[in-house]
Amino acid sequence: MNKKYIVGSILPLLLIAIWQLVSYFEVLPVQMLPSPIDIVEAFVNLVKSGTLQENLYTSLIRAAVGFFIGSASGILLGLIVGNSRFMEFLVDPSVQLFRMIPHLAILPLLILWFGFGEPSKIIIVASGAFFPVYINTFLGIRSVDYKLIEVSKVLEFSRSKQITKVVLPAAMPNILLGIRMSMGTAWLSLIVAELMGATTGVGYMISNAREFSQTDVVFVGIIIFACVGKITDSFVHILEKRLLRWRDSYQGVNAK
Amino acid sequence: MAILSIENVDKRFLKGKESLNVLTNINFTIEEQEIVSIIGPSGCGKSTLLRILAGLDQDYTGKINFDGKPISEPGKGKGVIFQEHRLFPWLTVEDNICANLNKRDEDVQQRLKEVIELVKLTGFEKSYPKELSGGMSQRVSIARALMRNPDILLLDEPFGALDAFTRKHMQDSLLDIFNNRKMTIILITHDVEEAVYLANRIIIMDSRPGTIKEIVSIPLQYPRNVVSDEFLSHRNKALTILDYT
Repeated sequence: MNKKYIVGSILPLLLIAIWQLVSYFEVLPVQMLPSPIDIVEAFVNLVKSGTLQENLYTSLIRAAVGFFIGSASGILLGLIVGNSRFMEFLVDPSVQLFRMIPHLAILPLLILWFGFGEPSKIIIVASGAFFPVYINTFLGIRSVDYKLIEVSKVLEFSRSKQITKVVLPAAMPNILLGIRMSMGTAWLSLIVAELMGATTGVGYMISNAREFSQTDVVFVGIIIFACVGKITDSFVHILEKRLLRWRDSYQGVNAK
Repeated sequence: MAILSIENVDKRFLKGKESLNVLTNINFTIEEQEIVSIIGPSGCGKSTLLRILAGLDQDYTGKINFDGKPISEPGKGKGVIFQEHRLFPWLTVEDNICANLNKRDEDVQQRLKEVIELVKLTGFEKSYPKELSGGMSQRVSIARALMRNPDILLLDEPFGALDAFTRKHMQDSLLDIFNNRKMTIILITHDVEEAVYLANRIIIMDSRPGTIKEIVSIPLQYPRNVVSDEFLSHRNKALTILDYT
């Protein structure tokens, strides 16, 4: 266990060391690339003044609400479309059409409709979270081993039990993968929304800092995004491990 | 009394524009508490026949009567054991066996205990399928079928993927289970020795199109001695009909 964390932190630590050296020898001007120590200082100041907590809180709420709405509707629609050929023909082409619209393209429209308030941001995050979950749920359902469906018929499962007790658990690896991916896109969508038009949030903090050339604050924002993203991803990964304990698949060499 | 009667069953597959005869003119009856083995070369449609009897394939012509009624859906007194164990990998052994049954029910608990003892899996109730060997997994799938007290057990080459020692052991287990439960068993196999070892009657099939070549009785006492003269003579007779040389 410990070894795993040590191996995982080699690359980030190496990067920080090189970075500090580069700044120390002033290869680039401070306005372009502040040193890690400067960034830590900026971080401490932001925490002291409470700015960071406030913005992070707003961003987290937006991300959580948007992610929940997006992924829940992704699972639901994925389940419906995955279980019915008719629904696939009816719904899937339109979903794929909407999927191809870049977020940046609809954001101005959302701002026109909903203003700079919360709904436009939550819709952006939700739409970002929706597609990976939808696609992977759909894919997961369609790749359920037909042999297990046959078994469920032999064992006289009702149609609804077949879906909840066979299709859903069999598709779970894909659904969880979709959730992991959608958390990434939810963050991405959030920062897009906050950079384009917001008065609070970590994205706003970054774009505001850019206007005042506070490069160190920009870095704090970026690092916050990376860390919070990683923490939430680890959380889902732990969930994945618990839920998919039953799986018997290749874990990579030297896995124990 | 015949528990199962099959009359003039035909089955075709459509392959592009061609229609392929898989089963032609299949007729036989099976008595209660009989072990019948169906053997034949691959492609003779024996697995298709079993799927039809299981209710998994209803696209055929002809008449099938099971317990006085036509076969309309899977389950309903018909237990099926497939070549692969087909366990739900996310469920433990006992949850697999009790799938779609109420595990908290006392009667279910009692039956669970009995079948687990019968298939000799005591101590593995909480294991996941990935932790079991091939023979053990197949025993779980047998237990899962027995749990529903089927009138007829349909087995589709159930021991084909197992090694010779495990297979022999499983064949004896099946006979034990038969003695214990007294149900009707139909066993698809491509192993003549297995058929002669287990069955009261052997239905020998021919391929392209799948027809019944001959039905042979094996009037030997259980347990059968595989090196006895009468066993070997029955085996040789079946082999001759199958046209092996």
